[in-house]
Amino acid sequence: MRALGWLDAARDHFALPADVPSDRLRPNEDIKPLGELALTVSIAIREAAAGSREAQLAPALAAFAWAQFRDGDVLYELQREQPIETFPTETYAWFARTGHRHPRLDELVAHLSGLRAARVTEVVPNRALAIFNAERLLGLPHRGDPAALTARTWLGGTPEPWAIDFFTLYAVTHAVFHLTDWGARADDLPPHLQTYLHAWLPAWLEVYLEAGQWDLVGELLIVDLCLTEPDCHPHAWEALARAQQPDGLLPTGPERVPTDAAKAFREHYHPTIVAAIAGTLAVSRRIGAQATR
Amino acid sequence: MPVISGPPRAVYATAVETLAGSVVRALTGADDAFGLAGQLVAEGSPAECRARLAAVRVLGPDALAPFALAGHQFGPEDAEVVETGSQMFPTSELDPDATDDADNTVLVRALRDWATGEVLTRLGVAGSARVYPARPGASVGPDQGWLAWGGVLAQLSPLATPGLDGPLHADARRYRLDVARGVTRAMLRRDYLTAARLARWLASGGEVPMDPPFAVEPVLRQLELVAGPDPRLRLEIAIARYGLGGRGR
Repeated sequence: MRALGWLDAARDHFALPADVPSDRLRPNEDIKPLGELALTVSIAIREAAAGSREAQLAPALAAFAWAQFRDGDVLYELQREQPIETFPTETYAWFARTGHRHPRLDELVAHLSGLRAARVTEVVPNRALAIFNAERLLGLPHRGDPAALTARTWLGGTPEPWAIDFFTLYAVTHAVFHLTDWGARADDLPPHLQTYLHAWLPAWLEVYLEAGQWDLVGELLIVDLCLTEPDCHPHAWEALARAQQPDGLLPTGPERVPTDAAKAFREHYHPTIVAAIAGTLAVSRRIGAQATR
Repeated sequence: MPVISGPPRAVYATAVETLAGSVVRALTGADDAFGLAGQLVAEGSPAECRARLAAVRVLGPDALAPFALAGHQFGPEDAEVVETGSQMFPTSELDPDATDDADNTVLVRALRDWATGEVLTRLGVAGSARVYPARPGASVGPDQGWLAWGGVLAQLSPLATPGLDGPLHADARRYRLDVARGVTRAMLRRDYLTAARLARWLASGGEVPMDPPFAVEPVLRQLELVAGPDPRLRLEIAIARYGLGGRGR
């Protein structure tokens, strides 16, 4: 859980730029990292794998992220000004678990997700599953059909496991994350897809371990933890641990981590988020496994 | 490959590729005639002559594939070539007392020689059969894990020939998923020769339904289209197609 410690220490880099109005915030550079921080701590809070110092950090970090979003006003303003965009709702959904709500945003999202237009938003299939999970987390009645949404994903087609590339593998990982709500609903992954992932994760892991692509390796390990019976892949975890820096940062890949802190954050915050989520789920799955013995 | 002092690797590599190309053409029907006598012809430098015989040795059972699989006539001159190559490049016999076989090298050579002996026996050459080599402690099995096992299986692809059967073949049938993982990894690493060799193992029993699905024919076709003209790779694909019930293409 050194990763969560690094994320906590990097708070200032997650902070939204001061005095910038909502409509001038950049979704990928400003909103997304803070949203992913909220996602990470929401999973830590949900799993409640308590005890470690790092696990105590999660609620404080959630409060920090919510305060950065001005208690949700930023997300509300973004959603109001860009009603067809889904990223404000997707980001808001992470706070549903951390106890932070924004009543006017709730009203707005409930209305927007009920529109006919919401059923046919043109996004890539795994993103459609992200929206589905966000609506599910927010308790909204209008949701797509997860089986149909899954069938449209690359994973849903159970294709040749070698007819894939780096970016498509991320589509696979994200499809699993959203369908299972980051491992909370492993049973929602249909048996034939569980079989498929048990079969091919080892091969994909080997390829990207060899390439030193730690961000993707971490996501593949999270996928494993989203299965009803994870295979664990201890050698992959060991490789990830060796790649991780003492301060908890996990490098994206084989490139050297910059010494400049801001640059290091921009380039390597994401794999560290991945490491934190993976670590949280690994601890809680193991604890769960031991409790059932 | 036995340690050979003398000619540089390039001469040997060329000879192997040339012979592999001839075998491929014989298997796919591109050439009407095939024979090994040309490997004994005294043309070129002494190094090239040795290399032509070494090529027969390197390809092992695959050099006999046109006779065994595609109906080409096997004659005494062909048998003589194989015998001459074996004498010139002998394999050390399995030493029952040797304990260090970390690379499985000796066992791999012995298994390839067994396969050559099996094919020669089927082609009517008396005295060719060898006992299936066993080596307690050396592992050529799936218990090593799919990654290591795939490496060994790839080296032993000449055994994946229609008509040959043994413990390794039984393992390959039983642990198809492990072999398929090896194919997947090799394809993604663009190690197309290894992918072809492992696909050949999967093909040797025909297209067997797997759960999750994993079809061999699309792998072979992809390799044909994207992998480049390496004759050794083409040879693996051609023999794999015989396993699938086709005729080399």
